[in-house]
Amino acid sequence: MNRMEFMRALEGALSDVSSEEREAALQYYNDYLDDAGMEHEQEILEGWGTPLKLAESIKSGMDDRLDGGEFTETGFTAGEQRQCPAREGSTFYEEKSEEPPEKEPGKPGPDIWKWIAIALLCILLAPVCIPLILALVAVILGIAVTVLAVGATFLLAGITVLLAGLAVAGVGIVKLFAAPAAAAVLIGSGLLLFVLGALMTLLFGWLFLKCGVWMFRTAVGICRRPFHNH
Amino acid sequence: MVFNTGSALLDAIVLAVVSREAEGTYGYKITQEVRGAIEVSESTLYPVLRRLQKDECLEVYDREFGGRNRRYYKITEKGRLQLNLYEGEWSLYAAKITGIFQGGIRE
Repeated sequence: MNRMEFMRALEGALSDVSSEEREAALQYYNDYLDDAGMEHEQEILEGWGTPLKLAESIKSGMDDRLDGGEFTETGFTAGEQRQCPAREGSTFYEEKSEEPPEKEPGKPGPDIWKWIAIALLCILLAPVCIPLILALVAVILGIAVTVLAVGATFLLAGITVLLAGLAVAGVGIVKLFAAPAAAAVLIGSGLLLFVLGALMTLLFGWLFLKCGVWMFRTAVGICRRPFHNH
Repeated sequence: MVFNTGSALLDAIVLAVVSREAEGTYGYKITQEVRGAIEVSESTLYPVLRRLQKDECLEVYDREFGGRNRRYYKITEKGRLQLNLYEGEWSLYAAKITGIFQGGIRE
């Protein structure tokens, strides 16, 4: 199909629109071919597709029947009807901008100033803050060591009582034939002590472990925090 | 092109291209310049230009060129305002996307 045939067919396909619209479109596409030059004519006509298809795309822009759509790598995809924002003055996108209106595009946002302020504050307060932080860390470490030491003491006490109970019971067994009554008392109290010691060992061993694990986790958590973004 | 161009962005690009010529410019040239940025077919821009014209963002006039009348598009005051709005929105949008890509400061 050459240019003449194409344009005539296009005019025919646009016969159902107003003469003003038709002439504007024909003027545009004639101009386009003139400006592209003879050497590109065939290529452009092929790019337009059929006159019917071109007429459809022309009509799609009319009367707000359809302004939407997207241009993708596969060409134009018709979308939903969209109001041209120009007609609504400065109310622009349907979505509300969450930015405060005074925020000027292109200028450094308040974020940058916020971070600069934080950095300055850090530098100014460093002589006071660093010793304070060190002291705080030392106190916390001291408390942790104390708690662990107390726990360890109770644990050791438990183990001692347990061993003492065993020893007493052992003595009782040795003396069983020499002094049966005293031996029975010794064995009995020895076993009691043993059980008591075992209970203490278990209880404090458990507390000691829990406490130690919790402290370790907390310490790791605190050290990690600066590297997390909130 | 990997990213889709919505019609608002296409309007903005067309307004920007037309606004660069004080005397106005014509369909073929506009198309070639828009194609420098995004992929559009040879026939895509007419409905866009026509709509912008109806919205009074663009005005047309004919001027004699090489023994024929060529139709020129020129940006109007309203079109310039619209373009400013688009440019403002674009800077915000582009800055946000860039910020996310670079994994910078988060609120």
